[in-house]
Amino acid sequence: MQQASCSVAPINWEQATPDVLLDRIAEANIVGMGGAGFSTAKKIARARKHPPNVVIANGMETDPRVSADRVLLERHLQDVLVGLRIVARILNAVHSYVAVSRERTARTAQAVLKEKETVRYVKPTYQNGAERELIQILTGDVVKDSGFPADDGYVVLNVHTLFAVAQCIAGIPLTKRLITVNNETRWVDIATPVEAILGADQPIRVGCYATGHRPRENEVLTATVNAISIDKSVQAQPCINCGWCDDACPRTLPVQSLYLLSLQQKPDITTQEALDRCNDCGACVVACPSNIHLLDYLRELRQRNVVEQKRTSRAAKARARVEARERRLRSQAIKVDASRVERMQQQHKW
Amino acid sequence: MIHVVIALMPGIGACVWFLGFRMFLVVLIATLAAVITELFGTRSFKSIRDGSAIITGLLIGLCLPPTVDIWVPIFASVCAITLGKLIFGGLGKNLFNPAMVGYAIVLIAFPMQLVYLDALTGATALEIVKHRDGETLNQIASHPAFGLVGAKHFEWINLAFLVGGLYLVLLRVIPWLLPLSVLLGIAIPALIFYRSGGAQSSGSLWFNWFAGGTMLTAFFVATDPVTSPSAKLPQIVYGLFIGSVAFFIRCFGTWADGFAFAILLGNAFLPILEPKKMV
Repeated sequence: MQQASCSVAPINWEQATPDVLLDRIAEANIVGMGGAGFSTAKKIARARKHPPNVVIANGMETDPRVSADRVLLERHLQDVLVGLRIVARILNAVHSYVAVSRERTARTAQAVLKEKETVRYVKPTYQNGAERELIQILTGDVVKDSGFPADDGYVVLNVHTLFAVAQCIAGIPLTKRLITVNNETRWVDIATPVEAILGADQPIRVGCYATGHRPRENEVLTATVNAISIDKSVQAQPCINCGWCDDACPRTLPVQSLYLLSLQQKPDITTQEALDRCNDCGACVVACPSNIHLLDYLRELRQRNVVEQKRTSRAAKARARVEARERRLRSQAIKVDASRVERMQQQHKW
Repeated sequence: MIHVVIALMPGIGACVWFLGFRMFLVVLIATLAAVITELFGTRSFKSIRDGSAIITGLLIGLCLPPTVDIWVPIFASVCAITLGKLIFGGLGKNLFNPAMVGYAIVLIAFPMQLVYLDALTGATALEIVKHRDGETLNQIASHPAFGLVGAKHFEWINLAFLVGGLYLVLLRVIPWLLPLSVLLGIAIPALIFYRSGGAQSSGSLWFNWFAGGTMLTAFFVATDPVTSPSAKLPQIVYGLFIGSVAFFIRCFGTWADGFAFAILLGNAFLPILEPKKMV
């Protein structure tokens, strides 16, 4: 796929030691290509301290109208499986899983799997693509909410990340990735200016429409972006109180009320508890019949809350400092007074 | 919104078929008046595209009898868009259903325009049931204003609106709970006041479901997202309230049918039913 002109020496991964493989992944600076962008080498190294390990290839593409991972699995299934086996070899994993969202892909993969490998078709609903939910579906284990699943021995990697791992071990640098550009999936060079990818003179979002952000100035394509979509929210119409966003929210947030609060351009600390539960899935954005990008408003409100919390906590710290100083001075004054009373009494005696 | 217009088509067709071609004219004029008022009020084409003005105009046209003077639908639509919607700040901010505001204004201001005297029957079935003296339901059933179960012609019009409404429910454009609780809101008092069809009876369950504007209100007016609750429990309370108030106005009040006032009363209670819409 990639040109071999700028390649480095390939490694025979079936014979190489785990440390050599891990060093190569760290050198190549592979990051999670599902969106998080967390260093893959760090994730593997972290899980290595907590055996026994399970590796999961996450092919659950749950962003609406994005099919980069699905197309990758159809065209380059072997490379993805090689990546999975490399990671499994580094970790000496007890089992590997491949989660796919197309039954056809699951059947194809079933034929080429080795022992201690399982492929599972998982229904592509919104929550099933999330790391912890996927671990629970595949293995039945519930990992703790805090920290990383890697601390429990689970390594969940996006299929495109595994593809990149296989490429870097083969000595080919990652210069392109598959992204869905307005419903059509194709290879695009990394570091292409995002506004040039779609070509047309239309407002775009980096990522899928529901969860993506508006392009920043001079933004270029990074390895973590899986789609470029047309921004429908520029044609947003007034909210008609239909409540579809409330019904759509998988974490049962009062989305419409939060949206109305966000319109007031003020922070509201009381909403923070609800906003903390939001996992940015964008289901509300898809549900909205008026094309309002509710997630934008929720993010803005959260941002204002964070600023407000910082401000109030700074004020609280300053107040605590002043009060402590006053207490100290008062206690010193009392001590001084006590010694003076003592002296006075002595003088009186004299 | 396009689905709501599609779902209204069988009802409009039935109205034109049974009540005459003038009905089509009334609906058309009401719709045009609503759209033009919206256009002048907001001075932008963007507000037309959402289709809310078209729905308002269609609903007003369907509420009016075919015998009205032609200025009545125009007046009703202009009142609906301006007093019902624009003065609150446009779509999404109105407290009351615009179509019902327009209809209620002409209902109160020009009651004689809205008295519908069918050339054939002389009076509507709802009026006959209310103003009969001491006859049982069976005795008046032979009157030409009655059909198979409800009012003549209107039972078919109601059936057409029911079909359109079920289409919307299946497409999940409207919540299923609202129309169901409106229908239950009529059914419960209708069963209580049925009194086995005697001299004091207020008509059977089927008669009350398939007469007047029951189905039109249950599926198309009460489900207006702006002025109806979106959570389950408030929807049940809202629907039952509208249905039963409409029943009592219809059977014991002076107006022929009570849905316009029931809807407006229900809208007025909305901030209590669902406080978030106060924001």
